[in-house]
Amino acid sequence: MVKKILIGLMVTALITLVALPLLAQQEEIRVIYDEGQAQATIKSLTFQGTNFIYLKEMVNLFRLDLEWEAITKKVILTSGPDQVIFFVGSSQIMVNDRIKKIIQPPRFSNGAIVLPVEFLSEILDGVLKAKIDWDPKTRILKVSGGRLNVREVRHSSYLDSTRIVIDLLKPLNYRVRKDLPAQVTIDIYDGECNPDQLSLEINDGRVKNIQAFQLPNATQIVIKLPKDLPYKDFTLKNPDRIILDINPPQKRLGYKITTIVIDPGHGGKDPGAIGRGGTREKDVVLAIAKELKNLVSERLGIRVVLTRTGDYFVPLRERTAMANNEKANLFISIHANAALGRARGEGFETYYHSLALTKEAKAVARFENSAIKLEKGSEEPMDQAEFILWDMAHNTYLNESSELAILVQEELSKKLKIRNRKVGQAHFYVLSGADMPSILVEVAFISNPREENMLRNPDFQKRVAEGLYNAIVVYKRSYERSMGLVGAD
Amino acid sequence: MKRKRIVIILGVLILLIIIILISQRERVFYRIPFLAPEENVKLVRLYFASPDADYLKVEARRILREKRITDEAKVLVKELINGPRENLDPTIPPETQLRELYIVPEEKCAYLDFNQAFQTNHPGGSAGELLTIYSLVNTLIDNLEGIERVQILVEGKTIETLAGHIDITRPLPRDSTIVEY
Repeated sequence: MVKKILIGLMVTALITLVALPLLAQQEEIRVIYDEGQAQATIKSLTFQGTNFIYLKEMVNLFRLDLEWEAITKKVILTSGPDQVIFFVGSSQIMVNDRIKKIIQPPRFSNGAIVLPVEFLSEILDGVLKAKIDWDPKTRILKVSGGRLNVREVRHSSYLDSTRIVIDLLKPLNYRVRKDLPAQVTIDIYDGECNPDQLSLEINDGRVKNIQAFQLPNATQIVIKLPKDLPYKDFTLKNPDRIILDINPPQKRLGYKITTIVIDPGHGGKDPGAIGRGGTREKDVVLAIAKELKNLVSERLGIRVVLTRTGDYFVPLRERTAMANNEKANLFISIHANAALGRARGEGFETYYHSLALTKEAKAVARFENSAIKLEKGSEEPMDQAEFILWDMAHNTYLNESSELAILVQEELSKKLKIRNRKVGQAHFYVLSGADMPSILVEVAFISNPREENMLRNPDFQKRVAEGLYNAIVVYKRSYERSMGLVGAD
Repeated sequence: MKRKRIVIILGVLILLIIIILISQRERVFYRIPFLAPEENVKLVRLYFASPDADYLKVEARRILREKRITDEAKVLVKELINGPRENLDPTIPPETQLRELYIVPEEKCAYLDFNQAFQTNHPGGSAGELLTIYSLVNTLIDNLEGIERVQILVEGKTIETLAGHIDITRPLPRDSTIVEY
C-alpha cells in the first residue's frame, strides 16, 4: 500500500518535472520567407487552444493597408487590387466580395485586435498569392512565393545627391532606362509590390517624386526629376536592394593613385585574435600585407607604405596619422576575424567607415517596419542638422570607400573558396579620420579551425594578396579612366 | 520499522525534488508563469549571436521585475553574460563580470563598467566585436524605458576599442543593421 503511494508520488514528481517546461506559454512565432531568404519574429497569444497574432504585426509583416472603423468594429485590409473585410467578433470574412468562414473569430486582447493564425493560411494566402504554412509544433510560419518581393522604397537627401534605395525580398533582375526627359524608370522583372506604399514625395531639388506601378510581370518605379541629372545604379546584399544615386558625387579631378598605405592589424603586445591551433592574427596579416606590398609596388609601380613592417605595437591613431602624413590615396587595413561561441563563423568580409551616431538613421534597412515593433520606438530619425554636418565631413570618401569595399569582396570571391559574407559599415577606430578612401578587410575566421589552417598556409595568404591586388587594379583603372588619365580600353 | 524506512525514503525523495527544483531554479522559475506572479515577471528581448556570427538574433526570456531600472539593467547584462539558452551563440566572454552600472537619466545613457576579463578574454575580430558591443547596446535600449545610448567601460575607464576595431570611446545608439529578426 505504502509502496504504491511511494511509486505514485515518484511518478507524479517525474511527470511534473518533465511537463513543467511544456506548460510554459510560448510567445513568439517565427516567420520564414522563401526557404529562409528572410526571417521575422512575431508575438502570439493563446485563447482556448488557438494561437492568435496581432493584426498590427500581420499588417506590417505583409505590407497591407489597414482601415478601421471603431463604431462598427469593421476592419478593411487592402493589398493591391485585393480586399479583405471582417468584423471583430465575427468569423465570417469577406474576401473580394466572397464570404469565407474561419473557426475562431478575430477578437480583442487588451484593446488590440488579434487574429487566429489560421487567418493567414486560410484567408491571406489567396490574397497575397503566397503559400503560407503554419506548423503549430515548431511554431514556424512558412511563407513562400509571396508576391510582395519589392518591399520598400526609401531615400536619403545629401548635400548634392539623392540616394534612392529599393528593398527587395530576393535578388531580382532590373533595368534602368531614361526614355523621357526629367524621368528615370526602373523596371524590376518579376517584381510584385503594393504600389501605394512605395510612392514617395521627395522634392529635395533633385527628385520630385517616386511613383510605383504594378505591371503584370514587373514592378515599375518611375522617378520624376525637375531636370535631367546624371545617375548611377548598383545593387547591395543583405538585405537585397537596388540603389540609384541621382547626381552622384563626381569623382575628384586630378585624383591619381600614387601612394597606398597598407595596415597589417595588431602587432607586438597585441597579438590580435588567436586560433585554437595557436595561429596569431598579427603574424598572418603581416605576411599578407608584405605579399600585397610586393605585388602593388612591383606590378603597378605605386609607392606602398606599411604601417608596421615587423612584430611591434603601433597604436591605432598612429596608423591613421601615418596614412594622412604620407598623403596616401588608399588605406587598406588587413585583419583576421573571430567570434565567440562554436566557431562557426566563416568567410571574408570588408568594412568601410560609418559614424555610429548616424548609422541608425542612414540604414533604415532590414525590414524595420515589418516584423517587429518594439515596445517603444527607439528608432528616432537623426537630427537633420547632425546628419548634414556629418555628411559634409565624411561623405567625400564614403562613396569611394564603399566602391573599393565592394570591389574587394568581388575580387576575393574569385580567389578564395570560402564564404563571401558581406560588405559592412561600422564605426572603426582606425578608419575614422582617414583622409582618403579606406577599408578594413577581414580575410577569414582565425577562430574557425578550418580557416585557421588556411590562414597559416602561404598559398592562401598569396591568394588573398592577389585578390586585394586585383581590386586595387580595377579601382585604379575605373578612377583614372573616369578622369581621362588613361585611354579607354 | 518498515514505516520508518518509508518515511526516510519519502524524505529523501522530497529533498531530491527540492534540490532539482533549486538547481534548475533559473530555468524552471523564469519559464513557468504560475511560479512567479505575472505582475512580477517581465518578458525581455536578449540579443545573442547567430551561429554563423552573421547577425544578432533575439531570444525572449522572462526575468523578475525589479523596482529600480538600474537593477533591471544589471539583470539584463547578467543574462547576456550567462549566454543563450536556445540555438544561438554567446556574445560576451563567460569570465566577464559587471563591476558597476550607472544610469544617467538626463543623458538617456547607461554606463556599463566591466572587469578586465571582458577585454582580455574577448576573442577579437570585427565580427566578434560588433556582436559583443551591439548585443549589450541593443538589449539595454530595447528593454529599458528612457535609455537611448550605452557607454561601455572597462575597469572604470573608457577604452578606444575592445580588441582593436570598433570605436567605443563614446556612448553608442542602437544599431538594427546587425540584427536579423
